Amino acid sequence: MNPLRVLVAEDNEDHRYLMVRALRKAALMPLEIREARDGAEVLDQLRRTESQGEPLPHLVFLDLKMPKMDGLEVLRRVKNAPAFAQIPVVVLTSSDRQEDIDAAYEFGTNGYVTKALYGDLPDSLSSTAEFWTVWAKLPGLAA
Amino acid sequence: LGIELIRTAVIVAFLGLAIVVFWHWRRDRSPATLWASLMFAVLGSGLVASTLTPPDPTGLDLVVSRLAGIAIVVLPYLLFRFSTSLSPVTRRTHAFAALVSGVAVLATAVVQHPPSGAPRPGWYQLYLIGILGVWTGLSAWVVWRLARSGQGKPTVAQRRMWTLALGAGTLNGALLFAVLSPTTNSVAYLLALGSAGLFFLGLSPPRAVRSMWRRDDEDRLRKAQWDLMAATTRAEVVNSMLPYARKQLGGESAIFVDRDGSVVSDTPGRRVDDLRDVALSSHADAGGLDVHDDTVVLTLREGRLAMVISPYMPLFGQDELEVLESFGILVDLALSRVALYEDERRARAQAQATRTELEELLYGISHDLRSPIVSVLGYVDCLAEDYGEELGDEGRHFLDRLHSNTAYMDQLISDLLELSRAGRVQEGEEAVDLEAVAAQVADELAAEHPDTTLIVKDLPTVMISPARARQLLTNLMRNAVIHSGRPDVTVSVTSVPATEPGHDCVAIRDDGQGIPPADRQRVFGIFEQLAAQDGVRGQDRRRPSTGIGLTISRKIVERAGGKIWFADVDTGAEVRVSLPSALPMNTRALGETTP
Repeated sequence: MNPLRVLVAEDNEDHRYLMVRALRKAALMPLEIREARDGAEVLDQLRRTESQGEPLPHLVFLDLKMPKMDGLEVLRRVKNAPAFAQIPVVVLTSSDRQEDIDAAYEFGTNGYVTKALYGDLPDSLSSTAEFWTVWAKLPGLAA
Repeated sequence: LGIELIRTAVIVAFLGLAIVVFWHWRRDRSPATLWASLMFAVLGSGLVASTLTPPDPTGLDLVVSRLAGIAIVVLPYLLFRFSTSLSPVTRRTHAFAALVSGVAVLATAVVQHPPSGAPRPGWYQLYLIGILGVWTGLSAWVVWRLARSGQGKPTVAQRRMWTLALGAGTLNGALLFAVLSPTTNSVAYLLALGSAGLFFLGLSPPRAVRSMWRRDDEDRLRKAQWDLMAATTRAEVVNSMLPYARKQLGGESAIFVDRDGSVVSDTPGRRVDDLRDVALSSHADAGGLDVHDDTVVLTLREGRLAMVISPYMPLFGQDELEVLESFGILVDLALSRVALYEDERRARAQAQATRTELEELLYGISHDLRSPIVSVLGYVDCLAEDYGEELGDEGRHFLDRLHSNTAYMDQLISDLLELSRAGRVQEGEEAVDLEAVAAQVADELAAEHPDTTLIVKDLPTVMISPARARQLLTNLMRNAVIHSGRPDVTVSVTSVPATEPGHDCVAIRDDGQGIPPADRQRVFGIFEQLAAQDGVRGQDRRRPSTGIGLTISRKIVERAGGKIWFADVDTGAEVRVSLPSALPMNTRALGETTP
């Protein structure tokens, strides 16, 4: 079974560790997880992967408040680039402000999960990942 | 005898005019009034002189008679000077008028009058025609100029100009009559009397005539006053004042500078660029007028109005200036009222900006504070999962306390943020069916607390923001469950009789341990959580109670225009919420009487 490729964009090292751990723990399939420490790195990684002819990630988890490039800006650029537009991006943030939620959907996010890296989070992360990679079956997405 | 009477009346009228106008001159010191006064004095004394001399004078009588003739001949020149001191003409025109008048005076001084009754020789006829030509030409020119100058002037000044022009024309007609007919003629005297009356009206119009002439101006004043009252900014005040003041004084360009010397508004026109300097150079106190040759400056408490005016104004605009002065007081009032408005508006905008900034700051702080808490909670979970076995019972208990305390801190920060939002964010109110909202909340609570019984019955539709209604009911119903002190609590949400007209009232009741009467008001304060319930906090691990819930609830209710309080009950606790009804009162009353 091919591993599920997930890109986790998160500037806080602890949060990133806990997220990756939660994903691995709840995953129903093998995972290939990559990490990005800021907004610019997300775009760099995607561009490099594409130019080297490697398979793109199946799913991106994106924090909103990040240095170098704001999560919303990353989202806008990913969704406006024809090569990346079909990659599902799920915003994972500690903000539950309505204006942030509205903005994220306006910029084309595929999901919005409020961060609480304890309790039910592993389950909700893995079910989100499962939905966007196994059940959504987006057209043109390389397996 | 009739003719004698009329002639005396004419003499008295012109001498009287001379005195009245001279009195005016003593007040305004303008060349125009001096010339006018001189003109009437010369005319009056000329008439007196001709009355006193016999028809065929000799000796001293002859000199007096000659002087009377010169007085009549020089009259149009005086009229000319009167009109040109109001509106200047070229030097050449001046020289021409002086030359022609001089020749006429000289001719009158030397000419040999034929004895009365004797036929007039040809040269004498020629002399008469010449004198009449000069007379008529100059007078007609003055009449034309006066009439034309009235155009574009304020109503009263305009009417006065036209009256003066008519007076000059009538006087000319009178002299024509007198000269052309060889015998003494009552028509000439009657015309002269009429002309004196017209001059009097034009130069010193009685109050009644003036107020009749001013009726149009008063309508304009009323409109300007109305605009002043409606104005809400300084520019609006000034912009409703300038056109009025301009029209009132027949001004050409106008400007308003504030106390700092900056121009608030201007009406472009001749010399508008100099007006600021003119305004600033005035030394008048507030309420004072500074009238120069062709400018006028009205000093107010809030600034200065400066205007370029027609040269006729200092003579004819006294009334207008007085009206303008009292209008200035209204402008001052309007300006200080508007200044208060503007201060208040600025303060409100500033307060709004500060609030927005504060909210951003609060949001930023809470976000940054929550981040490490979330990490701690995550690692506590990791520790419990991976090393829980090795820690033993006591170790696991420590972890549990660590978790619930950190979770409490997390909730505290969220609630503080929510509290600051609940009072501040302006949200649209709409008709919300509380029953539907309460039923949803009850379903959620039932899932979390399976042993509780939740009853929702017959709730009203009220005016509130839908999101806030949900938050309110969640807070109150969850409070009832958590703080009841027993897992099998029964919570009922029902409609109760309203306490004030136009409102609906809802009661949230539980059969728990209740709240002592002394504490019922205190619990609405921030961080107030009754000691007895502390132990229960652990009941809801994901949503520990911070005690801010009731404070938020009160803010939500008050924001929607309602009230919240604890009812006086013996067992359990009962919160009552009164909110503005969504249904118009009469409809509701109708609905109540229908079975």
